[in-house]
Amino acid sequence: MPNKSSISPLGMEDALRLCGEISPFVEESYDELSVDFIKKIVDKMREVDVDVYLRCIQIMTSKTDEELMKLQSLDILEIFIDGLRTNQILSLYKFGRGLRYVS
Amino acid sequence: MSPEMTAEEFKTKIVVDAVFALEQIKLFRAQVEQAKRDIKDLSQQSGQNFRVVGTAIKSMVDEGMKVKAVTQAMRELNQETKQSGDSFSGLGTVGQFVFGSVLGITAVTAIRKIIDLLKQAAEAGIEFSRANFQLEVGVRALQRIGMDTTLEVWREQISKLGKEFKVFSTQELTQGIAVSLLKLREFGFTEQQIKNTQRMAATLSLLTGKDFTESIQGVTYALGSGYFEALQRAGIQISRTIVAQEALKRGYEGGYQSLDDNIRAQLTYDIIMRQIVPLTDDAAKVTDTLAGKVTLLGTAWENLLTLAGDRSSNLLMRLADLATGVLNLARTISDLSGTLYMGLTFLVTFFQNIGKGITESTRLAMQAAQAFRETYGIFMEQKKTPTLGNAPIGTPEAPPEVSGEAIMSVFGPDIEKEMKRILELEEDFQQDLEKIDRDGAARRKEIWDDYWDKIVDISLKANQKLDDEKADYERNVAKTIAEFAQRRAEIEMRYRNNEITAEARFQERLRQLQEGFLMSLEDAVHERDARQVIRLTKQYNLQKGQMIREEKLRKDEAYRAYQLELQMLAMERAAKLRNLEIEHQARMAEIKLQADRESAQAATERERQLLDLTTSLERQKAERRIRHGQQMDDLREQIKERLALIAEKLAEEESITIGMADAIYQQLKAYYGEGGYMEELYTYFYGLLVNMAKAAAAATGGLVIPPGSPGGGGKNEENPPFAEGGWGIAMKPTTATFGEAGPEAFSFIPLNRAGVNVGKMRGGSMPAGMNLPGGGGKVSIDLKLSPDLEYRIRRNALDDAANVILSVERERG
Repeated sequence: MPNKSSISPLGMEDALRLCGEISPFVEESYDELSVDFIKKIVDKMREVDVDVYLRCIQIMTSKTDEELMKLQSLDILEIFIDGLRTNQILSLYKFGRGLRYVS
Repeated sequence: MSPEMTAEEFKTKIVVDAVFALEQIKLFRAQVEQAKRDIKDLSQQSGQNFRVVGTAIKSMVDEGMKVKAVTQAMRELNQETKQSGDSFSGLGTVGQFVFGSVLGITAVTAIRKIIDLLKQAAEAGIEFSRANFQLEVGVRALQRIGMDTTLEVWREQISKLGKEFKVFSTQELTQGIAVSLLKLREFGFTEQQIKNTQRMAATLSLLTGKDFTESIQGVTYALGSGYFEALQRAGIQISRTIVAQEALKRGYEGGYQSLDDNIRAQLTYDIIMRQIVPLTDDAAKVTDTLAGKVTLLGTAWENLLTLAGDRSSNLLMRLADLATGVLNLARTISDLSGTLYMGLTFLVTFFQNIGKGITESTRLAMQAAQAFRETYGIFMEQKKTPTLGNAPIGTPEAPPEVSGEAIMSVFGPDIEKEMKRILELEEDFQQDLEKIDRDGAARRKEIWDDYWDKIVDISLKANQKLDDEKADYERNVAKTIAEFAQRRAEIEMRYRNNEITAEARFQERLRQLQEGFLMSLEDAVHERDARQVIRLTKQYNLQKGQMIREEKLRKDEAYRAYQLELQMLAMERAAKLRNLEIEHQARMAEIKLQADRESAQAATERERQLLDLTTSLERQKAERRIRHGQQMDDLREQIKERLALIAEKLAEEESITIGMADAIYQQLKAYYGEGGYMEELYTYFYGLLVNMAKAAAAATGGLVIPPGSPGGGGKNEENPPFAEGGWGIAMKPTTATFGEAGPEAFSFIPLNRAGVNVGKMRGGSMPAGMNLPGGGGKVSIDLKLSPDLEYRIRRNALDDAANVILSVERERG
């Protein structure tokens, strides 16, 4: 599986893609990347569209569906959290909003 | 993913698993944080270390999750402690003794800052002392020429000028005024004229940007020698010609050179005063400009250094030496980068920690000193030597001049060694206790696992029996129903067969009746007996009717018997089914009861095992405590023996008497004891840093200061303008506007983590001629100061400095 070192900051295009995918699930009341913040995102994804979760992982890792489906759930969660941290999702989200890329 | 799982199922599964895992993480973190709080609270209340408290808490909880949370909390707390301790593992005796292991690695950087401060403070203190001496010399010179003046008058003048011209430090004013007294004493000026000249020089200094002493020099040169460049640069219209014209107006004839020195000075004084008085008020406003504020910072800093250096340069230098030793031996040093506020707040926290370290170190040092003293006394008693070093026992002869450093050089290594051994014993003891707890927790888990295995086994067996019983019951019910159905069919068949037979017989009887009637009728017809025919017919009909009625009665009776038999059968069936149901329920209840009995037995067995385990653990701990106590006793005995040996050697080699031992004890006490040097040092510096932090916080109104920290408060502007520069700390998402008045540099520094982009250039290239320092390399210390900071510090520090100076000088006087 991709380890922490393999999760690197995304380029602008992918970062904005990630921003676009994840922004509907981000709660603005948070100002730091906490477990609660991540849980709220995943909770909303489960309610609205479970596909988004895997799409975010794909953007973060550039892996295919088949490759990701070989991983365990916890490994995927670790990638997800690490990807949010590495890409500074809160700043990215605000950046995306500033560009009006996301609403 | 399992091979049969589809992509859609996989997507759903990983999200559901993620939600569950995050929930567990959240729960666990909450438990860890709670456990940390509990451990810290208990640790503070009980005075025990984290490990002891954490172990005690673990022994009180049974649930695996909570135990894990407590363990994790202990690990994190120990890690915090360890991190702070590791950086000092390589320190020398004094460094470890004083600072212990309470400081974090970044404290080393703080120490480095303190060293710089202390060195500057010491130098400033020396310079200030020199300026004070010059002032005294100047005052005495005035007194010698007959002026009725005192040192106090000129100190008041320094204070007054300091209040009026905030950009001058006390040291600078003292130095300048001392120079002015020496230079002006021969011009026949009155006290007030000298004061006016000093004020004049201060105004010139503000106008020209020169320091106060330099301006004093310029004015005195103008007054005494006719060198007017300094005044002319400040815009004062003065020259020898102007002075000569002024002399002519007042009746003095001849040129400039022909004037008496005192008259020349007086005329020059009057010309300057006329021009400079209107400028003084405006000049004082220079402090409102940015340049003035920058100057104020320097002034405030100099005042602070002067204050620090003057009050206790001895203490400062001692701490500087200690800190330097710590710094040189610290294994890793990281640079402090950040803001002045952060630095000051950190230093305050740092000194709070030092306070804790000093308290503990003091306690241990005093224990050691006390032990030494007692042991030495015992040794002396044992020797029964009336005198050692020509002094009687118990008679304090003149104690030798023993410095704290010398004592530490003798006792430090031994005290350090014994402290290390005590800590090792304590560590072993705590580790053993933890192992007992760990083993106990493992055994407790086994007991619970066994219990749950039994419960599961009992439950499985009971469920199997219940299933069997249900199957038996259903089989019996089915069998009974089938049996009764068979019997009903038999009854119905018998009834039908009987009816068929009875019907056949009835029909036969009717045929026989009909045949007998027909034969009798034939005879009657043959005999032509009409009456007989009628009678036979009637008789036939009568008999036939009777037979039909009889047959009907029989049929009805047979049917009733049939129905009765069916009813009896149904009743018998219902009774049997009811019995089966009752028996089934009874057997089910019996199975459940049996399972409950077995579960209760398992729980009893579990409780017994847990009780045995708890007893066993307590016994093991008690035994370990006893062993620990014995080890500590042995160690103390060894320490006593070693101290006795030291005492003996000291007595032999140094001729130390009991009186000297008392003196050594007093020295140690003075060094480490209550109200001693270390405590004084700590109290002084802590107060100093708190004041600095307050001043900085007050000055930088935009700062957000955490509650409870020194200097808390301040204003917080939503969108501070940065066109003229500035800085701050954002504790929440903040919008800022900058660059609106031309190119401006910006930098974002995360304070709670290492930002990967810190120091990297963003947002386009620099304007021509402006370059950023090269990337990489060591991070430099970066103190960012608010434009208002200098003024605020100045206001607080200057007052303190002036008060201290006056009090010191009054004592001297």
